[in-house]
Amino acid sequence: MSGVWAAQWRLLPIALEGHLRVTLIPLLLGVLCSVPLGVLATRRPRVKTRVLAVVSGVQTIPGLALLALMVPVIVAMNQLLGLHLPALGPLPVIVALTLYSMLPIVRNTVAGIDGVDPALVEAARGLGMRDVQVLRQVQLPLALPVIVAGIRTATVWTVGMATLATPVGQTSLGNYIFAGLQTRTWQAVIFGCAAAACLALVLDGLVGLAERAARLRSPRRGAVAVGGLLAIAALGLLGPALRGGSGQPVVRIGAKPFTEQYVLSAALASDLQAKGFATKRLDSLGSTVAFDALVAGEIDLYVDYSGTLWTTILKRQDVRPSGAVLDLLRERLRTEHGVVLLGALGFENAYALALPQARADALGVRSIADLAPHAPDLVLGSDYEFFQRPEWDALRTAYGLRFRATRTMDASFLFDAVRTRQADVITAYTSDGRIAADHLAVLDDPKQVLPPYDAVLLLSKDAASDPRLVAALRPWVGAVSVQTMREANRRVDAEGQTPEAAGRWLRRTALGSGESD
Amino acid sequence: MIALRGVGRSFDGGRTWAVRGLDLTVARGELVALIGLSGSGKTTTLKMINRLVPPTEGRIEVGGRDTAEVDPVRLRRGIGYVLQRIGLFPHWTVGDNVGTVPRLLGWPEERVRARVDELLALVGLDPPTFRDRSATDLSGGQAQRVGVARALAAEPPVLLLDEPFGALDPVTRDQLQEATRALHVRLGLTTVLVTHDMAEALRLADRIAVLHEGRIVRTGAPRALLDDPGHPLVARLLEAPRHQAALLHDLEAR
Repeated sequence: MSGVWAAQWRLLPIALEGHLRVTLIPLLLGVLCSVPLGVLATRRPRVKTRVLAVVSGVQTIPGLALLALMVPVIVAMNQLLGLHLPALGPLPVIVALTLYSMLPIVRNTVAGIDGVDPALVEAARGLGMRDVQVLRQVQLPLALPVIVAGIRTATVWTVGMATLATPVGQTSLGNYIFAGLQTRTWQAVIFGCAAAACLALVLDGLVGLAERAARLRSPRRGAVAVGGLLAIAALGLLGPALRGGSGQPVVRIGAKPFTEQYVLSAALASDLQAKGFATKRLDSLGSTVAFDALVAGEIDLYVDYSGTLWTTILKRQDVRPSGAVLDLLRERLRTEHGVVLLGALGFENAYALALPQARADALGVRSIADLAPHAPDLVLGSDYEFFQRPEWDALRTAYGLRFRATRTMDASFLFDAVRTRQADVITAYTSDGRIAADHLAVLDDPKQVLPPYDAVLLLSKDAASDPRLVAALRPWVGAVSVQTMREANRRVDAEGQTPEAAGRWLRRTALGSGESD
Repeated sequence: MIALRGVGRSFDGGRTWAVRGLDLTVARGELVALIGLSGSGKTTTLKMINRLVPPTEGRIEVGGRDTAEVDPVRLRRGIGYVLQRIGLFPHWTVGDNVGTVPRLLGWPEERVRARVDELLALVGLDPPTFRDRSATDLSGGQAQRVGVARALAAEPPVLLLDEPFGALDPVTRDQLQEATRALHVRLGLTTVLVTHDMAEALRLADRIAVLHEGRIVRTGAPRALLDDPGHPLVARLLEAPRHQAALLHDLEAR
């Protein structure tokens, strides 16, 4: 176990640095925008209503959605205005979190200034202070504790929200949480949460100390607070500059947020490194974020599944044989999106319905058609995506499936759910290592409703134009059998290996590269 | 020194008037009390003199100049202003509060400090004891003494007092009334005092102007008002202290 914890500590500098960048910049921008906006709002009642309505409105958008929405927003802005803003990484996070940080600061600035005793404002004006002097000498100093309380609230929120930066390709402490949830490495989840909590407490404490120093005019406290904040800022903002770039082009490998993707990205990264490439992994990208990122050239390659691309990118509802799907995808992705489908890796990771073998035997169920008459007594559990996907509609219509209930949960809990009988039938990925480990029966699909889900290696236009990179990746085509993939996944999900270790095993097994790492 | 000519103020665009048709002059060195019931317009009248409330109509002169033609901020820096709610800045020391206007006027720090000590002594507060004390760490009477010192810091020729003793206990009020009258005389100030307490007006003022529903209904020296109220309201205002005095007299005679 100590090895797992040591692995978390090794990741900390990078994760913390990324996290600080997307915490401190939004907070700084948030304060710079919100305090003047709050001051303006106290002077113009009409501005006040509007400003508060807008910043409150932003707050009602769920954080993950706001961050994910920033990606297409930036892509659209780039197209409209002919800009080249990076749609992944820090930018969308900084924009989203700046907006998010504004509500508590604006609201507390308004409340703090409005809360200053009117007699003091009248005294100040009566003594001959100009409006600016009243604001600077009386209103702001007296409102300061309330304003700072707002900044502290924003600080704690932003540190927490920044963990959601991971799915849009920005390294953060969220990397621990997203990857840990998917690979069931609870130590990583706990580590990420604890690190975020510590960071929030430290920043909150330093901001509070700075406020007390200002109020009590204590230079010693002020020095500690400012020094601490500057040191933390330096860590987050100057870290990359100090480390410097190697000058070598970096191959950026994307991965969606589940075990198999982490293992594949680790395997591809270790293979490319062995072949002399510098690599960077952007794990835990949202499903469509990954494809958009590839189109936009934010990442160079990732593995997707033919069925997913068929329905979500080509918007097709019909089911075709695997070969036809691949041919059409290769053609349409290249012409319409400039993305190159290098080839299928050799295994399929299809959605399938699965239930415990013993239960299947008792019910005499071997295929989805057999299941249909029993469905009204059964509960179907699936992940966030499945019930939104066209396959689910197709499946229901084709087999007349009507379950007693459906439950949505994180994919990593589905096997627990079926074990504890919270669900009778679950959707499973055919390459999941736990199917065999948990003695589940995968039901046949005699009407071939579920489309093929061949794992395919996708390259961005730029990456595909690099013959050295294409040559390095070519051996992966057709090299990974479903048994190999299932075993690699099992090593992570059931044995608690890191995706990196499983990735190295996968690479050795699939490519037969003899060397040990 | 101060002249109000046909002054009126409406807060609703002319439908109703807080005060209207006011004519009043205050001679140099005079102390005039504005007295009236709540809502009679006396505080509005006072605030029009330093333009915290600009008049809707009419003309106000201070020191011979039309206040509408002076930068209101400059005007206020030349007029001492004391509020009933005192309004000391709680995040500053007593010294900072007293030095507010000299600092606004850009006096050198040395001179500000000397002036602060001089003023604290003037209002009867020991400078070394009070100078660096927090403004929140004062009794009501001490706070209003600081309020008066703050108003007088830049040696204004005019002093406006808006019910300055209203929130004080009777003993403190008595001391401060005495001290304020003495300062007025000693510094040769021109002072306007707003009050609803006829006894206070009679004791401090050279002349009393009685406001009723936004208009001046009687003006005169204390002696003249006592001899001839001339308006039912004046008679009523005089009745209250007389009644109290009579009660006290009866109790003592018993």
